[in-house]
Amino acid sequence: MARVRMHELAHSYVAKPAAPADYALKRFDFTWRNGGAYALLGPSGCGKTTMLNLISGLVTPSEGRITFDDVDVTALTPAQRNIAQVFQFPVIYDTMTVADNLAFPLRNRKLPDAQVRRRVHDVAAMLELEPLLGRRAAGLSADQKQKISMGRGLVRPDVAAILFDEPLTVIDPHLKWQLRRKLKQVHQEFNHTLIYVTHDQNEALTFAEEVVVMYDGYVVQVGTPQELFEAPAHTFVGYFIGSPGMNLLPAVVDGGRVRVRVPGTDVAVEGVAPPADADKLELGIRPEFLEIADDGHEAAIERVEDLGNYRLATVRLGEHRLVAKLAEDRPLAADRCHLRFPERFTKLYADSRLVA
Amino acid sequence: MNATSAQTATTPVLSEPAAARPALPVPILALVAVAALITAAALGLAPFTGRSVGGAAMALVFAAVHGAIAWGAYRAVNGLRLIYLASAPLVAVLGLLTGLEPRLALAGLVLWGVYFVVLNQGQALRWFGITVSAVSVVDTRPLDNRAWLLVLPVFAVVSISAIIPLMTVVNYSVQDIFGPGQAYFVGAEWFREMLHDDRLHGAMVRQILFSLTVLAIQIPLGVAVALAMPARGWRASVALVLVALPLLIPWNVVGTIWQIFGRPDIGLGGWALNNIGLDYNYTGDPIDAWITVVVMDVWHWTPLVVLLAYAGLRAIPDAFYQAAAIDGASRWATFRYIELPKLAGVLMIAVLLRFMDSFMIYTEPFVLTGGGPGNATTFLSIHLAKLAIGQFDLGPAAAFSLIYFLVILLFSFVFYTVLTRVGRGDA
Repeated sequence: MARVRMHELAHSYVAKPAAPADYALKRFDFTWRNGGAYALLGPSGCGKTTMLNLISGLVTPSEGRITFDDVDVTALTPAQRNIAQVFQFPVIYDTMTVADNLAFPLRNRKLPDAQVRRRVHDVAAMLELEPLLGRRAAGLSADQKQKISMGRGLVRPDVAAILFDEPLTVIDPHLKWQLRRKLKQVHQEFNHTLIYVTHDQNEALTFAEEVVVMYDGYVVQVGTPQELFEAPAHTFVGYFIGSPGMNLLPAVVDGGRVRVRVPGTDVAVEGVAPPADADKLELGIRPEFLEIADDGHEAAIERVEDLGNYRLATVRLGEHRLVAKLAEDRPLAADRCHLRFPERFTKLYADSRLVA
Repeated sequence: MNATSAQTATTPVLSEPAAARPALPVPILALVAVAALITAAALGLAPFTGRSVGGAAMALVFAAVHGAIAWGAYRAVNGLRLIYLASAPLVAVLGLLTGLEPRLALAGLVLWGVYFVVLNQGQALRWFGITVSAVSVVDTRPLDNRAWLLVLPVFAVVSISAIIPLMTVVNYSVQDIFGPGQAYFVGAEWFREMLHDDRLHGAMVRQILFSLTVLAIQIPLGVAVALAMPARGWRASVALVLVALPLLIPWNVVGTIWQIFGRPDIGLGGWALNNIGLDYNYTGDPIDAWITVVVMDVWHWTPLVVLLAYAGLRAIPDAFYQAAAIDGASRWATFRYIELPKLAGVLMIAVLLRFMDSFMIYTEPFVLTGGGPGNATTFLSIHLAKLAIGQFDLGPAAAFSLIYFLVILLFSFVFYTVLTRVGRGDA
């Protein structure tokens, strides 16, 4: 187990990167806490897998350094770094039995037989693979194969970190939940550093203590699920986390105050000094926090969807369209309502980034 | 109305779900028995030569085979239905084309008709608006036999290119042929003679030795070369073209190239070997001739193995190599546990292709050594060609080529079975 630090790290798959767009991962500093359970969340192509491969050593960064507990590992191979990684699609050694598959990483490191056997049995018990130990791995189902892949990651007692690259993509939904819980349990028991890549926010939020959100090669926010929800640091986080995503309204600066133009009743933001050089200002509020009240900005109700345990109201405020999430029992007039923007949850974004 | 209900409306019996299949019912058994008797009678009355007892016996065998195929077809082996339906008219056509006996053709057609009805579960008759309830209840799976029509073109081509020539050879193998219209049925005599022929035994031993030798060299060498080739970029293209060059050369030219290359007087290879002090002469020394033939085959055919193995290697996803790197696998372990298992499929094809090709090698040694010196490089096909088109012993040559065919079939079947088991991990 180790604390993984990334110093001034950047990576490009282009030989001579020039523009920022050439970088799959833009320059950043980051420390993965020893024993932390992280989720790395972001859309496809945002650099998640690059990040993972940089940590494991499958990819050598074009700029910057990586240290494990202050030891520079930038030039080391995956085996030397002692990292475990589980891939999106199950990787198993077809000709081996399940037990041999699990023992493979240990045997390659020349561990004594007795210890190998003990570890294999421990991991098999943990992942409920015991009845299959003698079977050949080739004939098993996809989720059993993925369990074996995970088992190979978990079998080494001394790994610096275990990386998961969307490991549950091929797994049935009910097994997904089971395996995720298993992973959490394993984490609590052994306190490995776990980094879990996913583009599924539910998976990220239920698994992780801290979520690292990536977008377009940038790490846009690191925080607990609650922080991501209540104070998205980037409009992408607001839009990506939560269902439906954050309402974003174009804003302007007028008389030193930030306003959203609505005929008659401009929405003004109090207490925030707008940055001087921003090209684009946006006001963000989550549907959960947008209040429908008896007084406030008058808006027209366009549509109300009943989703069983809550309702979604689409309202029109001037030329802007917003979504509000309402409790089932909240009374609502047929066509008009009043909106209130609670100050605590109304955020200002300059060029997509949160203005603190 | 949707498609399902339309089907239900017109063919209620067929659309019922198929539960456990019933045991072979009496109507089917009776039909098979009648068909077998008709065949046996027809053929027995008109045996292959018009008089011998052997003809009647063969007819019975013929009928038994038909019965067995029909049984297999009934036991839900769909491929067998097709084979059967193809085989019965084929027998008819063959009867006519190979000049065996017109009545055989008739018998074949009758059989075909009977089985067509039986195996179709009456479906064919339904095309003409006739419902045969006794047969239609046998199999409750919906069948759409019109798909067979799609097979007809292939069937026609294969008949002309393979099946009819093959059956002509079968016909020759049981006759002593003196000239056009002068053929006499001799039964299994040629087979007996061939199986006890010393020259054939010698050729067979040489052939097996040759095939095993080239397989033992070409498969590992091909994999090794494929592993050493660049994976991508222009270097990969260049390497592929260079490796594939020998495959583009006509076989007789390959033989000629090596014939000249190996000559001690004017060939670069032979001349060089003699000049470094080796006494090399492939036209006089059996060992030298063998080495030359083997090296030539390796040069000519290893590229095929390389191409197959290369394609197999490129098909392995990167994640496997990454997982191996993370698991700390050595280069050898990566080869042993990832590359080799993933190559098993293409290597099986490579082994089969190379075995079958090397087992029938003819052109190159024919050009290079002509089977000599003495009989040193006389392989089966060279021996066969001498027999068939050198001496015009058509009967013995036909018997020989059938034995040859069966041997290849047997070896290939064994290889295939063993290798697919290995691939599945049951071995």
